[in-house]
Amino acid sequence: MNPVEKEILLLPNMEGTERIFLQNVLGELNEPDQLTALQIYRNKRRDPQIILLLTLLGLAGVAGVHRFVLGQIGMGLLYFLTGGLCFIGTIIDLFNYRQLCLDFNQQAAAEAVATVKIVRR
Amino acid sequence: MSQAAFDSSQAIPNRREASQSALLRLNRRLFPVRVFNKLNREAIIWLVALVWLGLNARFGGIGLCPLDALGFNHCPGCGIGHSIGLALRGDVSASWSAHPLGIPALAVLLNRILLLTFPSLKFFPKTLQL
Repeated sequence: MNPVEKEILLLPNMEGTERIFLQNVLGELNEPDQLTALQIYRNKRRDPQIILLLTLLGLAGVAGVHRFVLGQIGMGLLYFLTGGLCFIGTIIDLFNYRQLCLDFNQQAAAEAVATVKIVRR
Repeated sequence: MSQAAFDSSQAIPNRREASQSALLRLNRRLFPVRVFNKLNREAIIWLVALVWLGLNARFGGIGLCPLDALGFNHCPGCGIGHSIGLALRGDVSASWSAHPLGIPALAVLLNRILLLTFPSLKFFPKTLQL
């Protein structure tokens, strides 16, 4: 197994969709650059399980923290001020947290690769 | 024999291509760069919710609030559905009195739907993504 694959497998709660996307995005770089991009990505990435736990926090009264963490300030404020749209929004996000997290992580991976490309140019 | 099997497996993507709906092919021809993402599940949920609220404001439909069903009388989001529905029908003052945050909420939800459907559009800078 090459070090890049090992690094990918070390990320917590990695799913198939995310891994395939990551390999596709990293494919254009050479191996040392891939490792640099993965180190940047590891800092930017959000763990889906943490997003799930923050969504569950909404059922305890503090809703919308997961939206802030995923960088959606408007949705976060809306959830926070209305109790997660009267709990309905929180329950929707409990179903949908994987997709929310995957969207954020795909953006983060693309940004990490772009950063490495700019530095190497 | 093995060559024939290989050929048939190669043919599968082509057949799928052919069976794609005319709308999708038209979409691909209109937008060579992929602008229109596949309609996201979250976007569908928000769209259905908005339509439902808009109809509810007219007909005064059923309440869906789980807190109300449990017997609580007040929560910080009370009346926001009604407020969004009234805002969709253009009744600004009634919307404000139902819940002051109704119109901002509507704007945020519409922005979210548009961002999910057209990911390449940027309405706000990335640091202020709503």
